[in-house]
Amino acid sequence: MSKLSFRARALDASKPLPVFRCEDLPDLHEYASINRAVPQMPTGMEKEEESEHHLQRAISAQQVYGEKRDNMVIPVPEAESNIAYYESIYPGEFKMPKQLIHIQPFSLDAEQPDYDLDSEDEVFVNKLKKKMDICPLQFEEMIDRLEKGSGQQPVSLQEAKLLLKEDDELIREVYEYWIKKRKTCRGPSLIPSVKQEKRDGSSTNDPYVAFRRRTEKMQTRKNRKNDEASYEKMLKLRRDLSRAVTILEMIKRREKSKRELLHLTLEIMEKRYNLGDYSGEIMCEVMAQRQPMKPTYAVPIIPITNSSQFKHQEVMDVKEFKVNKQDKADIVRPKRKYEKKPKVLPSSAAATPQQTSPAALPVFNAKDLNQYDFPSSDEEPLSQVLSGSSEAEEENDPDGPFAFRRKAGCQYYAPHLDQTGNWPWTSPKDGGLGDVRYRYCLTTLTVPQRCIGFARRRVGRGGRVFLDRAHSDYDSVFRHLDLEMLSSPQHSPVNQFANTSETNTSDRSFSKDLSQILVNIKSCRWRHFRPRTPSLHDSDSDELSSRKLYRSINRTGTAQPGTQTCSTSTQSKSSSGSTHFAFTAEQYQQHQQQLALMQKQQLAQIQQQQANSNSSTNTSQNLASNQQKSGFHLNIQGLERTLQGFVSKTLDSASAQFAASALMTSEQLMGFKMKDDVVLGIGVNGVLPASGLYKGLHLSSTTPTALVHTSPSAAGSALLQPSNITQTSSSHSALSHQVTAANSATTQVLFGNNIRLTVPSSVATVNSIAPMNARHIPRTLSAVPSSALKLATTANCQVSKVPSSSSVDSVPRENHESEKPALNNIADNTVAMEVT
Amino acid sequence: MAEVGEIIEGCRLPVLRRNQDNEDEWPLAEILSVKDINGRKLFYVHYIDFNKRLDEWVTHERLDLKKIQFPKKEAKTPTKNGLPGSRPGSPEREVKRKVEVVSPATPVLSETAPASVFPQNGSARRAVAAQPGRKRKSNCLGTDEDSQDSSDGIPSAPRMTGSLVSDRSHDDIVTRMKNIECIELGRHRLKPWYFSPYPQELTTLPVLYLCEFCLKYGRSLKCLQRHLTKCDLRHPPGNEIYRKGTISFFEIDGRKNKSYSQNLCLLAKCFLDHKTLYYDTDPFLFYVMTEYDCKGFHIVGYFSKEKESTEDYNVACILTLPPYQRRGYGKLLIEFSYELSKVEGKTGTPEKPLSDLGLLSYRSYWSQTILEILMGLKSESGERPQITINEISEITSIKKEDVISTLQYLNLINYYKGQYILTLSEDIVDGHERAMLKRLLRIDSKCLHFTPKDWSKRGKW
Repeated sequence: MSKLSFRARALDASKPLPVFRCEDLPDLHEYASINRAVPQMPTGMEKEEESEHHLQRAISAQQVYGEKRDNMVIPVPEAESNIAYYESIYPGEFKMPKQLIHIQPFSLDAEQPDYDLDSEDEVFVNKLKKKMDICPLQFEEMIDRLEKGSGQQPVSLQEAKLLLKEDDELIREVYEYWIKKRKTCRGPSLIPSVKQEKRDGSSTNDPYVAFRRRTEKMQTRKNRKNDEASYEKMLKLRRDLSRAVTILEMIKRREKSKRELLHLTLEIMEKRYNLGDYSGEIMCEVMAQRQPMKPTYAVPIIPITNSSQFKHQEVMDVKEFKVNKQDKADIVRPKRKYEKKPKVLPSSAAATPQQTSPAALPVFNAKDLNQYDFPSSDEEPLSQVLSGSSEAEEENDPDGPFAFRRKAGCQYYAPHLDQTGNWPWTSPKDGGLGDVRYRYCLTTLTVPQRCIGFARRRVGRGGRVFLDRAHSDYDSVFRHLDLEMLSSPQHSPVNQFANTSETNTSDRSFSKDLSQILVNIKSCRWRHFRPRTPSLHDSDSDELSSRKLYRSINRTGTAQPGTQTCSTSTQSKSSSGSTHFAFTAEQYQQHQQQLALMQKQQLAQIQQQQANSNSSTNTSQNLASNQQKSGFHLNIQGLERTLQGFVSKTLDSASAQFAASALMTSEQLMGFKMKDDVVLGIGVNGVLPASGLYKGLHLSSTTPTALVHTSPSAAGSALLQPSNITQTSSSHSALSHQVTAANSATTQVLFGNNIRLTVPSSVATVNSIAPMNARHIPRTLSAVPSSALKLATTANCQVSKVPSSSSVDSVPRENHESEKPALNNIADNTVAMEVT
Repeated sequence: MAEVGEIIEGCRLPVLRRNQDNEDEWPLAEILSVKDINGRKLFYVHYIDFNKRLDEWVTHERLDLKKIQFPKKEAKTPTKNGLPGSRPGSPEREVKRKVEVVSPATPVLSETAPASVFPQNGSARRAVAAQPGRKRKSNCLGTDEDSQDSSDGIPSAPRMTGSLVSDRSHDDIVTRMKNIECIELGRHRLKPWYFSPYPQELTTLPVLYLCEFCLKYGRSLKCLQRHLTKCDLRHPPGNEIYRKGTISFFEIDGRKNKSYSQNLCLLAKCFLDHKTLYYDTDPFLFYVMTEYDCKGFHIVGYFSKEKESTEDYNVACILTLPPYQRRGYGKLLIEFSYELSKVEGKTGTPEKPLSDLGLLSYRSYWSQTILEILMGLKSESGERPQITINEISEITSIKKEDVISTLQYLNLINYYKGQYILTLSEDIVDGHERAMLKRLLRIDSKCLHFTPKDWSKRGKW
């Protein structure tokens, strides 16, 4: 038949099938043979069961009759439904609730004993009831507790007494009954329960063990053997990744704690400043009180004067400013013993960048780089903090890199007694380097106050400093000279310090009267070394003046250069910043105190008529009209902030004291490098025209251009406290007026500073500073040009979060606060990184 | 003529059995176990080619000892050759497997079955162990099955998905035999059909008493009475998601309500041969159908369902309790399971293997459902009404394969003039109409209050 010659197509489930009644297709049977083409579907039953007699019979019956016949059904074991006592044992009516029944989770856990009393128990309980008070439920509870308290072995009577609250007598009765019953019981427990799997896996095949716990085996698709392996790999990957998450989380935490520590230390330093605790005495006291409590972290008791080398008047103005700022905004110096040693100060001091010992700066740069190394901050910061306390100090203090630090895993040999070795201080003929720093130079001791003549110092084991004295014919002269020098400030009457310039002038004139030697020293022909001893000023600094002192330090430190630049007599500029003022610290401090007193008076004035007093006290302030001045205040404030940020940044990058800010920098470098670049560029571009405006403002005050950078900063620091304290609101209102000016000022000064400061330092420093500039520009102002703000936001969304109108006291803090989100951001970034 | 004492496991002989029509029959049966109670020997017999559920303990009077066939040592048993596919009736395979699989782990066996306490199990085991001939024979067998078995000789845990075992390598003579004599549940007494892992100490009881609401098992009526004073459940401990008339459905989470789920599984295992209780109930939901009367919501049947099925299963185990069987409840359960699938927007199929009763019930449901659709099709504008298999599947939530198999089973698919057509014969139509008249219990989807949960989002079920 031709109809059969072709094969039927496969059944297509998506193809419409017309439905016919058989009676409409009388010729259907002719096609019946092709039906074989439709594949038979499996029944879904097990093959062997499929052929069972009763099933086959039922199926055929169904096919024959279209329905099952009673005698053709599959027989099953019988079931009865005529339990006579059903009504009696199941309690009465249960009304069907109108609503669908909704069960609350865990509402089923009624505190009912699992044990059910049986007839045997009932007899016992009834018997017992005659003697003592017991009800079936109580009995069940007792048995329940005994059973659940027992493991493989039944509990002892002693334990039973602990388990049960009943009378001893009752417990004993029930316990004995229970023990007896348990012995005759076939099961492991009187409360029958399904056998649990054994841990050793021996119950794999026990048919009575049921409901085994599912192990964490995955459900892979059938017939895919490698699925499980892949799954396990994925599991491992997941585990590893989550471990990475944990590690990063912990890093984040560690860095946070470090920042916290930094803030605390900063706060302590500030407090100590305010208290005038320059010698660390108060701190020591506090620490002594805290001693029994064992602080987790030793708060550094550094004499505050350590880091402010005011003896070095020759240090460039801006740099001095920085030092001041650093005192305020900065500092974490974990205490180490050797820090108490008299600080070594090279006489030449490398005041100018050119003279800086070439070793020092590269070290900084290296540290800068280290800091960008995000997770490396385990040990590093400490050493960095120790070695690089401040740039100025770093430059002057050759000890930093040589300071002895016991390194883990390092072997220290006993000294060679027979040879001197190649120490830097050993002369070349003895096989040493004969380093210039270790040449004999004039040395002054602080206690007792005298010049000991020529000496050289070298660093011994553990950072100890040895002074090798050398005899010279001038020894007696030196002694004399020193005394004169030391006593000199005392000769100056207090009221002579009318203003800073006068003080300086008087100092200068006084110094001119000194002997030729001193002149030599000053001009750095002779080096003069004087170890600093902080405790000298204790008596001088009383509570009241301490606050002012700080300001005066600020002020003097900054005003000085201003005057210095103005005074044409200084050779320092022309002599490329060689040592100039050989003030001793004592002199300087006393000077400071005079200033402080004066400042105090000024402050009183300021509070009454702030604008006038400000302008009168500061040489650099004579440029402003009232409105201008408020703007200028703003400028200064912005400047101040910027500078603080800047200084801290700079120091940071230089000396690694600011781990957190370094982090931020590193974040910028790492995460936002591209954006930063953009922002920086635009910041520069956008600001430069404005800076012209600013310049004009200042040029009108006939300040030499050279001063533009320094004098505002000086004024800024000097003005900062008073203006902020009394006039925060006004300065804020002024903000809106002088936005652009302030903005430009900020950048201008920053760039100026930057240029000046970074002459010696490598490109890395510039790099690190540059993005910071970009950061601080927007932050200084509340109402930044929207474009700039936008840019800032793109660069670093945290910037916009910083409250621009935060209180003055928290100015240094503000920097940190702005860093916080930045840091968080880092963390977030990292987390996000590992998540992906 | 053999002596009663000579009868051992593996012997085959006709055993007297009364069929549904109350007629005496002598079907061939196999002795699976022998036990001695008060000097009276009892024999556990499996009727060849009858379902296991009819296996029973018989006295020697019902054995036709004249026609006894002792287990052969080498040759295949007649069942194997003559009656292929009668696996349940082939204890030889069981025993052999037992020897193969279990005897390496003899310590486990002796540990799990203290012979003194449980004579019937113990004797079975001992008898098996004492059959060297069997062992040799089993070693000689080289069929496909056997090679399969030996390759899988090491006992391993069964797969974790699903609720049924098709691979019976873990079968053991213990699970081949019913262990509970009788279960009392509410006003019903049920004779279990299969083994269920109730606590072993309860297997010797003549009656196991179950609380009909929480399904907790007790050893005596007194215990049940005591339990009922403490148990205040009057319905399955879950959320009622359907109610129409007296019929309700309760949804129970196998993870949240473990004790009820386990008790339900233990009870269900008595009537489901392929059900496995190897693993916990966590990945399952249980839908318990109840019938309300003044005493409460009485369990009629249930089906379980995997929270997440990798193979489109919408039912794992399904059971109508014997007292309610053959009254339409099974179809109601099936219908409900498809209603749930419709709400979920999926097609589903019951987990395999199906039992004989399962196959009949499902076929019946599928046939009626599909025929209902086909007969309801109206011809549009004089054209032949037509429908695709996919459409049927979508409307009914019946998986496509099941639709096709049903159409085939009903012989509706025909190849006619170059295309497939569906043909409805008069017989089919009549039979369907008659059947639908009798099918009074239906699910009303309006009474269903069910929101499917996406379990994949919930971690571990």
